[in-house]
Amino acid sequence: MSEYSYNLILGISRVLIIFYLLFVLFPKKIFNTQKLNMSLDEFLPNLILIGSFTIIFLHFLVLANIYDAISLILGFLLITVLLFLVKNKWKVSDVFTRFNSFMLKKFESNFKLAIVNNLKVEKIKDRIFRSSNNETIWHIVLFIVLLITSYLRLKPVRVFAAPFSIESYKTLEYVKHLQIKELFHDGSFVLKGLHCLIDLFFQFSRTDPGILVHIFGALMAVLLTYIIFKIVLSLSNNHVAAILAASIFGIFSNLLPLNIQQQVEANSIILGVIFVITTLFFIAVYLNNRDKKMVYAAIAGIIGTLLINAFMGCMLLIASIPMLLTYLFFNIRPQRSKIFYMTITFSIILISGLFYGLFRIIDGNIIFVENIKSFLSDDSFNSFASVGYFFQQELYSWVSIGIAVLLMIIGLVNRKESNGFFNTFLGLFLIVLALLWNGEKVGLLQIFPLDQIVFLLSTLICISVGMLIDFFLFQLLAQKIKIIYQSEKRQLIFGLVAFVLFAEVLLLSKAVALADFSYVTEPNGYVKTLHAIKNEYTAYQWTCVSHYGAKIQTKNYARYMDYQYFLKYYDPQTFNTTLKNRVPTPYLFIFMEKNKFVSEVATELLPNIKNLTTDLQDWCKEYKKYHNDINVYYEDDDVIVYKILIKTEKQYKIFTRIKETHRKNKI
Amino acid sequence: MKKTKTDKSNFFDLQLNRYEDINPDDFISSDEKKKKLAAQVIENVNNPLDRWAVCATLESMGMRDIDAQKEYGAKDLFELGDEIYLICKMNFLLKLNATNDSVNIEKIENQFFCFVKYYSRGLSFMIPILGQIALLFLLRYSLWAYIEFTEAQATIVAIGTILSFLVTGGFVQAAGREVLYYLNGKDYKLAKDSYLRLFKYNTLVVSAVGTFLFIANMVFPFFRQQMLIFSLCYFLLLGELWYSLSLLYLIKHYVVVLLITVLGIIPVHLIMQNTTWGIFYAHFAGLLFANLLAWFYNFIWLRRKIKKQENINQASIAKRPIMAYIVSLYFTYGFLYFCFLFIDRIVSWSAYGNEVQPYIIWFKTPYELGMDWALISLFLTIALLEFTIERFSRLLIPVQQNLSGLLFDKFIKKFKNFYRNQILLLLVFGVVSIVITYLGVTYLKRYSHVPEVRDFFSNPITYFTFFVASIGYLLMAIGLFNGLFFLTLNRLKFAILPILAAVITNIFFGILLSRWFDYEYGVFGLLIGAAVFVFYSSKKAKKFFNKLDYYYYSAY
Repeated sequence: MSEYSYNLILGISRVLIIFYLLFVLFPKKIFNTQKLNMSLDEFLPNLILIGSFTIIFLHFLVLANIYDAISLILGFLLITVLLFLVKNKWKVSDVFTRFNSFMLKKFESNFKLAIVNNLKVEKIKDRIFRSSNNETIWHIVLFIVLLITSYLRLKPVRVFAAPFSIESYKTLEYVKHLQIKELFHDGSFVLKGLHCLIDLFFQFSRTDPGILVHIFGALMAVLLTYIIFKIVLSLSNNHVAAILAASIFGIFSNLLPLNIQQQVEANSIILGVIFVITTLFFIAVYLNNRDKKMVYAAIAGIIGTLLINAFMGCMLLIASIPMLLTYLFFNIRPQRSKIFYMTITFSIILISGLFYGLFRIIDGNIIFVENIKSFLSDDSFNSFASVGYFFQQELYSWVSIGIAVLLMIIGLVNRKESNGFFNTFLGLFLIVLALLWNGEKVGLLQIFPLDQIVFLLSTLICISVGMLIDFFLFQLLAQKIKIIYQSEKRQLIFGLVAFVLFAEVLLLSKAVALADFSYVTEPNGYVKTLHAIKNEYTAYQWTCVSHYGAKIQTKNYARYMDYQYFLKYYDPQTFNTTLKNRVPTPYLFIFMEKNKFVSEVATELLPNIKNLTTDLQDWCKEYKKYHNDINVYYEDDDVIVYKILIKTEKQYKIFTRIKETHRKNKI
Repeated sequence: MKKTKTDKSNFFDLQLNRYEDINPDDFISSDEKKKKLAAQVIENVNNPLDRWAVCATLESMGMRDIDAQKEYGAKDLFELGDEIYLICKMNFLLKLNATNDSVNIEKIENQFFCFVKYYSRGLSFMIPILGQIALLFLLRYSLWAYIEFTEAQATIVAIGTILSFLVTGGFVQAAGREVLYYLNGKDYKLAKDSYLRLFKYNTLVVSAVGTFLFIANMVFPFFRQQMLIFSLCYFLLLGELWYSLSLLYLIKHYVVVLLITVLGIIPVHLIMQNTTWGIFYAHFAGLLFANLLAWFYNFIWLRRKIKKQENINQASIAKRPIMAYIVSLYFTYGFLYFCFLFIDRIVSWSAYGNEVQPYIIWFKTPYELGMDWALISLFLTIALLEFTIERFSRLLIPVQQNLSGLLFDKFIKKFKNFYRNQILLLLVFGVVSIVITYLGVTYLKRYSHVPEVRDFFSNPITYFTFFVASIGYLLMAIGLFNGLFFLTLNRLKFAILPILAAVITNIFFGILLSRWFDYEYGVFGLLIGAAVFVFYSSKKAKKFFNKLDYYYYSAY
């Protein structure tokens, strides 16, 4: 197994462990979830609360110029202590006494007996299978769906070590600049929510940031699949519907107007969608159930979204119109005051007017429109534009509108049901998104990147399909066939049969999407070698002579020299023998391709040198003539990497003395 | 309601007024037999409240009316009670007058001799460190240091050393309470048992922390695994060594400590001279040898003491939860003390500018040199605490015995003066220590032809760190000085809260300043933390000395 594959597998495992520790276990311990009395699983609010907190906290640390691993760890500890003190009403003494009593209890307990008790097979069994049998089976099915989802997206990552798009270097560069406490180092205003989260995973898991950027999109897509499952399950309490909705997004994404290539490397759109749909869900739960605790999660979600992606921020604002309309409609009661209606109506008019005004102002101003488009776009997402869908765009649009209308009808018919509000809102929002997607056709100015609208639309379609399956298959059909509801086992069998049937149909219709890339930005050998060197040598002990992309890849752990500088200032014969321009590390690695005529490295990453590969190969040949400290470190069909052992100051002095003696002897 | 000083004086006057009707002549004229009886009553109830109390005491002593008539010539027990009561009170008044003279008893002791004795005992803590420095100069390596360490190697050792202090510090402090308690009572078997129990826990915790870090680093590679393994070896061996040496400190065998730490260099020297194993393995062998020596000596000493002991106590040491309850606060104090001492290093070594460090903690030589330099001044200053606390303990009993329980304000005043004088002495000593340390070390500048000496003085950060840390350490010494009083009278929370606040302040300001300016500014965290420590502990000390009578009464 290559160093890259080893780092990749370890990286994924580490990210999963950190995700569990930080986003599942940590909030469970610090938030008093029992007091929250939420109507839904605590996972989603905890995820958004911790995610948003992390993004805000990292921004604060970077802006305050105190960001690093130690500050981050201490910050999390501080938050834990503060929350603990708030819970204990700031009675430090009490906390102290409680800690003391906790420790004493531990001392009083019999360690050995406790270990034996915990290791009892029955207990373990009970822990694993504490949920009902049905739930366990659905959990297994869900696990398989998530596993396939990740496989479909991570497969190319295993084969290609190199980034798939130039924009990924930019993402990596932003992440690495966060590490040196620079938020906007290049003057361009790019929201850093995504980069903050990537760096958070780097700081805690110590996984190479290059690998994190390479897989982050895929991992976020898996998380989004799980979130779709959670939302549908919370609304419908139906495992089949939830798993089918999730699997449409995760496995059968060919059915959707999406390009699965967009879901491999890091981009802010997938993360943004995670925040947007959960935030909208929290707001809907709050407006429907008046669960005030949801407000905290919703506020955190709004802030998080605004720091991740501007486009998603706009979508939140746009979503507020259907949300308010639904709220208004669901609250038409005689006891409501006029002020209530006026406030809601005024808010709707204000937000709609804002967008209308904006459209009017920028209409015709192409530069302005392009600027807004560029600000709202995430290039690392848009670089894999959706080309050729499974169906025609019109069909998708009509299907979306059809689903939306059905949902609205179901929502309005079942308005007293807990999911009635959300279904109606979802229907309205789907229509808005479908209109935005077809903006030009319906006479709207196109300022939103279409691929991004479609991604949000597709995610919502999955949720909607889940809700429709629940309604038609389980509320209408299954209730009619009463035999199904006579036992839990029958329900399970019916569910499984329904799931298998759906899955089979989708499989046969070739709806499974597998991420496939025909182009990478640099030869795999380059990236694999960087991983091998990193694993073998201590940081800053080696210099890398390579393309501009390597400068970003090696930033913060190695020295870098570009080809132009190297060829200009280092002569193969007198290399490093003068005190001027000495290589500052004990090792130097020169990366070069074998093919002299065609380069596999993206042109954006290469200097403007006519025969770069030839020059580099000649340089190494020439060097070998005069020195014996060069050897091949890595070689494959495409690339070759040379390693030069740099003489230390002391060795250099000895070397010059020997040379001097030789010269004298000659004379 | 809070009692003021005036309230106390009024109360005292009232007490005196109660005895206005007492005629001293009665006391002089009373016969010896009655005086003896009065002495017995005083022995039983100290200062009887009234005649009824005396009568009750006499009855409890088996006295009857017939005894009062036949032996003391009184009409009945009540009349005898009246007489005895008067004698008791006269005795009390006479004591009252003699108070001023008796308080001065402690002055009889030769203070200068006492100071030299205890200050040098305090300094003896430095002897092993001086031994290590001497070895470093002579051989270029000591038991856990090496002049030619690279920064990466020094990081390995520093992580191990700091971890060992943090983890073992609590156990050493707990042993200081638990083992010393039995040693003072000359109960060597119980001392051995409690020492071994804490040794077992220390080993368990050190191993558990080591294993946890090993596995955690394997999953999340904050350091290279090999590097961490070396660090953990230092941690394990040093942690065990600190604990083993703690018994030697408790029994005051300082020379043995010096001998063990110096003899430990033999394997180091042998490996360095005869093999190519390198300094790490040499250190491990040396530390292992030193550990074995310390264990062997402790074992022999305890065995001999137990053998010599005539009446071996058959009782066993306190049960695990009880012991945990007793020593938990000492443990916390010990842990926080070492946290405070080392946290600024962690904070400063983790700071970086435009270039991310190879590891989250990276040893910075000029900073460490400055801190070590300042540490000498701390050792010179805190040596005085040995004298202070010895004086305090020695004064407490005679002063209390020679003062009436009603004269608590005099008792408090006496100790407030003592505290004030000692703190002044500490301040003077602290400043002098800093000056001596500075001059003493800069004296070495004349040997600047030696590369190590030249390197030492070459970096201005070393000077900067020294000056700031010296002041920080002086303040820390004052905080520790306050803490010692609390520890002596078992008021652990008074000591823990200030040091906890100091640690938090140290981290907070250390992080801000080391990141905003440069890494060496992290030393200001220590300074500000120490200032908080002084402020908070002094506030506690004020409260403590204002109610010293109560805290003394309820100390044990």
